[in-house]
Amino acid sequence: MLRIEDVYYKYNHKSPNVLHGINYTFNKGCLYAVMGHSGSGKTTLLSILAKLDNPTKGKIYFNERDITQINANVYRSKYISIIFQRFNLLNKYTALDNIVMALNIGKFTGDKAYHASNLLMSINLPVEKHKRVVSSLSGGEQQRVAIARALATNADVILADEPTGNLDSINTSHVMNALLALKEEHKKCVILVTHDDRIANQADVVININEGRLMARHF
Amino acid sequence: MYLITNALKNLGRYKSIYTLFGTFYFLLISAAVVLLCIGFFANSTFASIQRHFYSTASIGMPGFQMLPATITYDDYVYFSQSPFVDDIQFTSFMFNPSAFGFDANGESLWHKVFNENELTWTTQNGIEKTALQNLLRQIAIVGFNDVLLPITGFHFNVVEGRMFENDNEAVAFRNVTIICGDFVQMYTYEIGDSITFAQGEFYKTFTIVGLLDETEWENARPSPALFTTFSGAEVFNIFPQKEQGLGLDGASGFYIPAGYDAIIYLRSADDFEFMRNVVQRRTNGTHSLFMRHRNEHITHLNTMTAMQQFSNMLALISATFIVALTIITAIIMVNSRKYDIAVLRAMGMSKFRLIIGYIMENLFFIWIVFFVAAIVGIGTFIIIYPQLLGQFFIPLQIPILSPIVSSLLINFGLITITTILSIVISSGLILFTQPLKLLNLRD
Repeated sequence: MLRIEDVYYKYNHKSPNVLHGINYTFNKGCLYAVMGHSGSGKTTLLSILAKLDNPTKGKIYFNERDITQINANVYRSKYISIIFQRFNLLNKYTALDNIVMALNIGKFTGDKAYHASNLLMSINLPVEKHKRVVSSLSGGEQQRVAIARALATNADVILADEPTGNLDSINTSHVMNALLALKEEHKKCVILVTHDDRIANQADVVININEGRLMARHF
Repeated sequence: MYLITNALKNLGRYKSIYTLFGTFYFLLISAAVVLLCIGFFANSTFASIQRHFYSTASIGMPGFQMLPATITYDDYVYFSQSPFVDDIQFTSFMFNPSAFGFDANGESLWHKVFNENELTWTTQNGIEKTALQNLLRQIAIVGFNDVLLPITGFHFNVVEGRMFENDNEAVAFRNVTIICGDFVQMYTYEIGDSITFAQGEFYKTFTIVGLLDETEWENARPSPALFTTFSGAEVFNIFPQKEQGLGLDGASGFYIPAGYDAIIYLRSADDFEFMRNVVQRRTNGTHSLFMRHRNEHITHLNTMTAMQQFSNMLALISATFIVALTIITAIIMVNSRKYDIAVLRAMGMSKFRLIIGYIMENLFFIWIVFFVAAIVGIGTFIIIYPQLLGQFFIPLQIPILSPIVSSLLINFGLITITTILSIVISSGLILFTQPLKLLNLRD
């Protein structure tokens, strides 16, 4: 589904490579846990997969199609969803408006507010907080909003950068159940970055990144 | 539709920055509206006076009515006291004899009709007379010309300035006049100069708004002088008012506007000079029939021009500040929302929709402020306007809405265009930077 081929990346031409000629194929219906120490390139890998920047060298294929040939807006809004480590929500917007915005970008045609509300409830955000400005929500709540936003577009690939990092065990369980459901029931490809072994243990494949190189471990 | 509602919502979401800039905008725009209104007000007045440069005009003395073809001397031969009335020679110049006919000896009947204490006149029935006190009445000068006005279709060139704007201006107490070529040469008048005709405590000042082609006049009449109509001074007194005016019909075509008292026609610049001398002589030099105010810059035209320039200068400064503020607002707004832009780009929003969204948001903001500021600005102008009316000459044909509408359109266009350009330019750099770098995603 998502294949990376000899990908290198560096932030600018003076900096060293963050990713060193990595090759890997991500398949649908699988949950991948990407692990590695800080600065190893985990987030960069997700960003490249999300086409937030282009690789310095190498190719990425989505369903065997070079993603450089796919319109970035279409790719980001329809094929890929990303949950950022720092949530990257629209802080002045309400929780509901954040989801509605994603639905609008994805050209969702149904009742956006209703659908957004359902998504927020599915990740256990109380209804009374749906219309709260996200900057007034707790870190855990914001993270759940970010997850709901990623789920909103029904993308084939979910990229999650430490999606449970700010959550307690109960909410972590909610989020993981949601991600596992996406994998199992909807056959999505879920790639998440985590430092948590308990999360990684739920993955089908654990990929370690060390100095920009991949090492996969299948379960 | 979503972009519109979201743009409106964003005004509330980012109300802090919008309130701050909105305050500055409000002050600047309301000031600019007032200043531009004043500028346009002055400008339109000025333009109305200076229109028709080098145009050709055809006059038939608009607003004047042709008088009955047959009238008797009894109807119109009256004179009141005047420094001039006992001066046969002068009076003979004042009236065009051809307009009034001649007696059997070829002498103008007009020359025979007055003396120190009574008026006498000749009719077909003999000499008649009446006491002067019966004849003293408020009579106003309503016209000057070199000779009798042509009836219709007489063409001449306005070589500078303009002809009367319309009937209204020609007859309705307008302090403007048009003078003829040789008069200009003799006294070196220019457009915008003023002329005062005075006798005793009565006077009337006119602003010259047009110069006529002397050549044409010379072809038609030997001595053109000054052409205007006016009312309000009881200086030269001649024809008593009748219900529909008086005059002679015929080839010479003599007209008096309905409701006006009299017309005096002065034949030439020589007449003026003569009259001036007469007045000065009779008043021991304390009064002059005809005074020149050239280069004193006290005319309405000069005042209006100065006001126009001043307000235009201030409006230009305001406009500069508005443009600067718009650019600053756009840059700050876009840069403070750099993070949001990156998030939206990461979510797949197109650059075009982003720019349209921000443009709409800023336009809604600026339009709302503009609307409020315009109301305040117009209100202020309407308060100021009566003061201007009292102080300056304003032609009736300039509607009060014209300066306001012009001012609003200019301000509106200015802020709209500047906002669009500023947003496009300031967001350009951000939009073409990869979201990864904007979001600083490094790990």
